[in-house]
Amino acid sequence: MPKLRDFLEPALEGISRKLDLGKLFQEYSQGEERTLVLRTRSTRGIGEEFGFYVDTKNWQVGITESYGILEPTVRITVEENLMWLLAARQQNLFSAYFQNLPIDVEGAFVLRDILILDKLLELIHDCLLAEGIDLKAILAPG
Amino acid sequence: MEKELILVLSGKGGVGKSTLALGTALALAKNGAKVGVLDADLENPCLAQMTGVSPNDLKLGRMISPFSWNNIQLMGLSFLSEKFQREDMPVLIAEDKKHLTIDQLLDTVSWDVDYLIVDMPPGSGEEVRAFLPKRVTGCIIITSPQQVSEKAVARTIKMCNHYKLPIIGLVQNNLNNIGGNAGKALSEKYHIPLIARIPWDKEIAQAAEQQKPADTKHFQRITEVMAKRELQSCQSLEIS
Repeated sequence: MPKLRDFLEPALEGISRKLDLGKLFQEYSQGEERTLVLRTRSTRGIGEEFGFYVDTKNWQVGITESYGILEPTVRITVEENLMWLLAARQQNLFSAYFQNLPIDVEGAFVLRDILILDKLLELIHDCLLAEGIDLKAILAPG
Repeated sequence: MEKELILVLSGKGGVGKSTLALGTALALAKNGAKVGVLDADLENPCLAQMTGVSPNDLKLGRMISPFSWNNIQLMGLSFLSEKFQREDMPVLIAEDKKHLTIDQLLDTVSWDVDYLIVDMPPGSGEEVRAFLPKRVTGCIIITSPQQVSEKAVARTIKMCNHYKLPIIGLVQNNLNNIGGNAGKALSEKYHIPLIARIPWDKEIAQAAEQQKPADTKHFQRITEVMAKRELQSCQSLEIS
């Protein structure tokens, strides 16, 4: 089974190359310094844990394994099967929360932060598709 | 000024809460007030559909910006993602998260209003309890003329009394011409003013279908009651 980060890391680099992230997240944060982390939790015992992060102070997105460095404002954990739904855009993070799918929000629950992270997921999805990578097929269970 | 928080309530579904909330907001805006409407129906939000506002135009800044539609501000789940307008998107959220969500829709949206009209879901669930810690100015309770609505709305009146939510008045919405006079019966039984009777009006029904603002003539009386501060003397009665 391929690891999620093997596919997502280059995708995030691709996003960084193609998009003006500073402009994008400045629009969202309006100068407010926040770090949002979306962490996946494997449901199949692989033990893969990592986070996307959006750092609006330094205009960066990326993957992290050590949360201590980033001190996230809001940390959202989703299980791997839900990540598959998100990757396929059958769900978005926001609607998944309201469907009671396995998603935990640590710290403050802020609608706006979920919407920002969802935008990031949407960008990842679109970038992968543009490069011919179907994350839906890669992550399909079994 | 601190915003007036008005809840539009009914124990019965489909009696016209959203129509009343939008119509009252439009009438207040026509009179020069700054007005917002919050769709607090988390399970079946409909205001985005009724107004034709698209989540694609969502603006996220330090706060979530409400949408602007005919001089009124709008927000609710269906304004945040188009998925909430889909028939295959049931909201299964736990009750405690409903409370949090309503708090966020009130506190992280940059409302700039004199009046915030809240379109509540039918019944007396967690969405109502979410407003109990807030400074609710008053409640407008709506009923259809039929007896089947009368009993459900009576329970809503008792709920308001139980929670000590002030009642501004009752509105009877003549959804059709079948008859009945539940508004008058409830008004007399519980000593609550019947502040408006909305007649069957094809234009009101068509406005919602066509995502256009309704004529405000049927809602002006409600704004007059609010402007005269009659709500201060319209305290709900304790019902044993």
